[in-house]
Amino acid sequence: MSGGFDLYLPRDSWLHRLDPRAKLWAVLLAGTAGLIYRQIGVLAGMSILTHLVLLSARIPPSRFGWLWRRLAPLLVMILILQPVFVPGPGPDLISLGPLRLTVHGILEGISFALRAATLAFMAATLLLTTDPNELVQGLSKLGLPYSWGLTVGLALRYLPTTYGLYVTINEAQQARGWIVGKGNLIERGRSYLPILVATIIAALRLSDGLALALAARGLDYPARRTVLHEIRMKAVDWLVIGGAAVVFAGLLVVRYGMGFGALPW
Amino acid sequence: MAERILEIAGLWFWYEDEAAPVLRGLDLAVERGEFLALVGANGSGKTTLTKHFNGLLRPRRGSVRVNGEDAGGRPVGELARQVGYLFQNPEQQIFGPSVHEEVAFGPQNLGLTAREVEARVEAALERFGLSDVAGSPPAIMGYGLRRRVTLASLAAMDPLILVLDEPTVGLDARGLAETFDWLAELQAQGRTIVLVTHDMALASKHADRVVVMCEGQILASAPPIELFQQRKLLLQASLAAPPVLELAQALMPWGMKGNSLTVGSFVDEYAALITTRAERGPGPAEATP
Repeated sequence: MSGGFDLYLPRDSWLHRLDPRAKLWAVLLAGTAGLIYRQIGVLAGMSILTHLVLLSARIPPSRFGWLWRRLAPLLVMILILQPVFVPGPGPDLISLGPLRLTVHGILEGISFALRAATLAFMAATLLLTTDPNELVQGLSKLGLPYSWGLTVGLALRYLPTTYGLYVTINEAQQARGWIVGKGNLIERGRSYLPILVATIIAALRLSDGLALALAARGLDYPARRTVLHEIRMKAVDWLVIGGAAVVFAGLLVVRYGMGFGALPW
Repeated sequence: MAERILEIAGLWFWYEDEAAPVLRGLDLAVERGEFLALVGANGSGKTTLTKHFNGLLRPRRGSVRVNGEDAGGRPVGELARQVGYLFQNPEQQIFGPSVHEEVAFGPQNLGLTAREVEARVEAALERFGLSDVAGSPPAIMGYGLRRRVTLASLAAMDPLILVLDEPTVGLDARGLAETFDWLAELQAQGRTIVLVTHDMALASKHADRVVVMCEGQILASAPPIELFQQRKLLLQASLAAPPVLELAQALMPWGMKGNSLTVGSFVDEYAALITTRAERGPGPAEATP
């Protein structure tokens, strides 16, 4: 992570040159495909393909590592909680009072975690390779009011900033003697509470200030906003949308016509 | 009679979650081309007052007129063309992925042509020495540079009235001098400046008039030289006179007039005093500064 304001990594690649609308549609269709499949093999395939697409766009593997590390707590939580709370049918591997652990539950956990990671990487494909201003312009051109597009763009762009706030607050609390991440699961969870509360308050304050700053610089000025670099759909963009639509249709047929991919195994 | 560009009449304001009003029936008129300094203790209502100038806050009672028109029903975006606002904290007002895009954001909203936007941005970047970092993300820059980015963003809007809330925090001496040179240029062009500050030396050096706020009301409004002589009033508003004035007043028994507001005027008067003494020669009972 560069420490910059957003995830965008400027490069000269085929993916960077695509119109944001083409990428939005492709990611939307790919994401929907990721949601309708539960088969671990299919999801792993999608994940590998997403990594390959990012590599072809000259995104360094260190960025993948960065994203995997950010996702790790969520994935671990899914891998633990899903089998514990939704064990599903089948013989028990372990049984402790009301808690059961089954092969079905474990595979469901892997499927959900893999799906979450795949969707995150699909979204990253868009964010890592699209200039934030072009993304906002693309959303506007798809019919979203400029202020909505800007809000979406800012929300995505401020994810690293919010994470930075969390890190700073975490360090500040620890510097004042607060012990984080020690003890059992409940104690660990509780130790993060003051940090999360402070992060949320700081993020709300930041968004409040930002809203005032946007307004003070004429966001709702009653005139058409000047566009400095207009984005235009090219043949290759239509080709990408068409290709994504064909693959998506094929995946729909396989999933619902042939019934493949409904279960994690 | 000079033209009034800002007219505040009977302004009352209170926040929803606070029982006590922050502004209590306040009246203020600012003339076109005036450099006004707004001073007062923390919580006296300075920022709350200035946020009414561009519609970020709306009066609970009373009225705000900007450039002869009631600001009441006008959207903030429309008022932004006339009233530029520099917030206290640069952290909360920078959102662009690059310095260029950050500075261009405001002019782009005003419906100017792309060429006009580019011309304004280039001029602002050059004015604040940011041309070399135009493509860099402002978020990773140092505080002083980010402050310059916010000033350039304000300059690119080219408003009639500039409200600057503590603009000098984090600026080095060079940045400070450049900022006030720029403000002096704008004032010479007929722009109106409202400076919110805790720095009495700055207020006394640059402002035509200083307005003292205390508990949501205007306690006094006068040219710096008159205002900073009123010790009782300053005490009441929890303010202190500029150090150079206090020094000049402390030297009154030795012949200083005690009205120097700037180091320059102090040095001039002191040098004149010493020269006169040297020419006359010290008398036996005369004190020496």
